[in-house]
Amino acid sequence: MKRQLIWILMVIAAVTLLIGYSPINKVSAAALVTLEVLNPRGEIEPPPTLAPTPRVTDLAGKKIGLYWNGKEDGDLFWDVVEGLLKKKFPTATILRYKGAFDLGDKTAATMAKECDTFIYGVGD
Amino acid sequence: MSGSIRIEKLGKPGVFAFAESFEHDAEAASKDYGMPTLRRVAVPGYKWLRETREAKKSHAEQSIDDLIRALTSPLTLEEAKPKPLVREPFPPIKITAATYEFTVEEFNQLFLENRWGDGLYLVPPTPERVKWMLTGTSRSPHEVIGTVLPKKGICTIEKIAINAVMAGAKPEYLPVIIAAMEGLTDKDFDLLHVMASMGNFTLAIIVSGPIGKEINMNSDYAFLGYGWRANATIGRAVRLCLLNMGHLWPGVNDMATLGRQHPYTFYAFAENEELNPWKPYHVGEGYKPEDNCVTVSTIGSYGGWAITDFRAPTIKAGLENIIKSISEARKGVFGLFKRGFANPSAHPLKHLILLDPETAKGLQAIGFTTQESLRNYIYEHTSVPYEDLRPEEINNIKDRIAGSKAGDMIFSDIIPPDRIPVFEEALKPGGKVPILITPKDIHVIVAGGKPGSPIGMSYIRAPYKWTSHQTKLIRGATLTKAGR
Repeated sequence: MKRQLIWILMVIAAVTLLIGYSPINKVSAAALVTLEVLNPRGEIEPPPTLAPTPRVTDLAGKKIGLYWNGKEDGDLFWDVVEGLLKKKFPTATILRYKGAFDLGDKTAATMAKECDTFIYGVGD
Repeated sequence: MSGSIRIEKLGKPGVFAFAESFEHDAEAASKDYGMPTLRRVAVPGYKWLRETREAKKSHAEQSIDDLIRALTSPLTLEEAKPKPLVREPFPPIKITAATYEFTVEEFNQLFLENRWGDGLYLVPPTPERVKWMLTGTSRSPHEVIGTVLPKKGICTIEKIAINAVMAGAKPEYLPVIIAAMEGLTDKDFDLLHVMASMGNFTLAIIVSGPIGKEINMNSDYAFLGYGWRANATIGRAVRLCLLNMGHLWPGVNDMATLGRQHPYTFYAFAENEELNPWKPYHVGEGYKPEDNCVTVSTIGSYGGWAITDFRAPTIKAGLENIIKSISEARKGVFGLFKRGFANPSAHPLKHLILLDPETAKGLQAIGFTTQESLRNYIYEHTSVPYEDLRPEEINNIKDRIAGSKAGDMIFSDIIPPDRIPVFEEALKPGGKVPILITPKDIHVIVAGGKPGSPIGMSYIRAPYKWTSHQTKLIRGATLTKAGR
């Protein structure tokens, strides 16, 4: 029994050594090719991360600004939004604004001054 | 989106409304502009141009509760304290496989899965290849050219070189590609519209000066076609630069519904200086004859402004075709303008007039001794006599002038301050009101062979910034006599 066990262990060891030094293995290890390539992506310097402004608690009595950049038929959507807001909040005032894709500092300051809250939409 | 964040920064709470197929775009933009938890509401059912007015009303009705909730429900902890955005590094990448061929295949798969390629096979930008590419310029690889919209990726000479390798370009093309990127990242050039708009706009990349011939660019027969490595890979390199440094992807932030025309290479070609009867294009733009320049110019979508064929049996008939084509803008520019409404048909245009050599020579023979004389003729003959204007056209032009003076109009409709007096002067009996803002919005370039076809490529002159057309000097070339 002891002799049989030793034989088995010797066979296992021999097979393991054979696999380790096998010509096939030598070829596989040598054939692996590694390619290093440089990254084409442009790194982005992230802007400072800001949180949105705290919300108003209720729209009743508030001045609500609606901004649109004037793309075709978008005014119809905003007309309906205005109508629905007035229906739900009869004491609210709806202020409509139009301008470029990015409204710019001047109009932003105007809206910030005149409105309590706003909805902003653009089309292209 | 950026406008919404402007107002939020001034301390007023709001919500950004967008069409429901633009979720990725809206989410990405909120991060790009530094407010990742900006309240956003998707408006269902974006089919604006194919629905009845009643159907469009229902979109507002479906959205109103979400809009109200976004305006009034308190910010969550996550919204009030968003995770800081961090700079993501882009280190070199190692790819391992059984053989070189498999490795290159793995590289291509990886790059496409990451959205770093255009779908065609890429050349691996190994350090050795990039070093080789950089031999084409004397400029430092670390030099920053600018940032590339929409995501403002930093554009360096090295990054341009990496993308140029991927495109299959040669080092002597690199100074041309750099100059193109300088034009596209110029602060006055509207890159965002041509990169991100739902309109399938695209770019023309035009080389003028001796370098075009030196690097074997096609400026002759089939100049917009295939078969020339310089034309193809210069255009492709620019496309890869914009994709990788702008972090663009179709349907995510490049919203072209069909995909931009000539998406892999844009329209990249050289001016035919040899057969040009006039001075080179860049000389007319204020450069010296020995200079070499690249012009990048946005051109229109399929149909419409894209490419107009001006072929005709005679030179005069061809010129009439040009006049007639440009004059069609009257309907929109005079007739459809409405202050505050962004109607693309009402935006003034600029035009590339690409003349084949025979047409150019023919025009010279009938008296157009310079490009300026031709451009002025076109400007003059597309202007409309005051007496021929309809009352609503006169009102619209007056309104455009008033809006331009007040500075409260969308960019694309503005008459620049130095041109307002021209329109004011023309808008009276005996005057002629131009459809074009300035004669300089007509760019005459000779390209093509014999026989050739004169064509036009048109686009809005100033979509969201001052220009959609920019010329830059090629410099720093080391492997060509030109462009040094």
